[in-house]
Amino acid sequence: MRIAAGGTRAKTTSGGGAARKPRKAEVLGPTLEILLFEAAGHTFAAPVSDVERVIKREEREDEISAENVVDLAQALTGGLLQAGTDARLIMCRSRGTETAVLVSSIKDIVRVPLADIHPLPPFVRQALAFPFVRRIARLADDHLIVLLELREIGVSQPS
Amino acid sequence: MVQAQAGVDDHGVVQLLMFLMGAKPWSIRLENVRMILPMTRIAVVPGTPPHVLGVISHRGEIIPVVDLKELLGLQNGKSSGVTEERIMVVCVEGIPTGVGCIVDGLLDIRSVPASSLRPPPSTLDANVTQYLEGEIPMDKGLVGVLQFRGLAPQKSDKQ
Repeated sequence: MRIAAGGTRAKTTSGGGAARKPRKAEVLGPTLEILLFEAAGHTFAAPVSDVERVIKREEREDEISAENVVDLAQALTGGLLQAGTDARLIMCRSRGTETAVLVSSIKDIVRVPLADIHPLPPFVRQALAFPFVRRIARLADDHLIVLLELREIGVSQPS
Repeated sequence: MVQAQAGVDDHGVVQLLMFLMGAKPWSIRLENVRMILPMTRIAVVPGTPPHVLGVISHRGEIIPVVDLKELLGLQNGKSSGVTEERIMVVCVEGIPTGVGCIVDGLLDIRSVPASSLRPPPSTLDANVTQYLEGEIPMDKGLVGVLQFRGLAPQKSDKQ
């Protein structure tokens, strides 16, 4: 995965935000590398393996066609487009089509022990309208981050 | 009168946890409360109905959290003015972790005769009565006794 200017490199410790204490579990067991990003005022994450590259929003015209861009804030809340200078496009490929997911900013890349990746509780899962929301990651400070299945976002959004 | 049920001691006394929600006191059988937690960071899960706020992490458990006022349709009511919000984790059938409910503050625990529990009035909104076990006379009028055994989320209509 390539990260454009303003992006970030993977850290060897688990955690997000201010607290990034190393955890024994991450060196003992398998981990999942996740990309943390902000959209609609909240922090979400996606497995790095789902991401092909991250580019600045301005590069969009040269890189991809507009119809394949999903504004995540709009998709999640119907809110305004994310037009800030920190906005980035997370590029992912699904069923041969490249989709760009527009987010407010990229925050971090962290490794989380697989043991700390959980399905959402059935109570929440049953209420969900979005098929691309299924899992949650517990970070080092007990902070929970919702994992988005980015490759499914373009598929499930009406064009 | 409502029939005496489990949770009533040999002397026909039931223990109620009194709490504030909006401008009114409410109550719940103490046996239906799993734990009380201080307000903590809630991981917002997109695509859920308005009353499902998200999830919290507590001692290795991922607990769903609901906005009680939204669930009961009381969101337009008066504010209690109290800022000691707590997460009251209540017992719900089929959900081992229970479900966290945001309340405005805790009042006290009262022991009352089970025989004083009255059925909910038929004039109340269905949103409330489905979670109302009954009412009990207290110093300043009738106080609703809530129960969430059959709590199940409605699917969000966001798409």
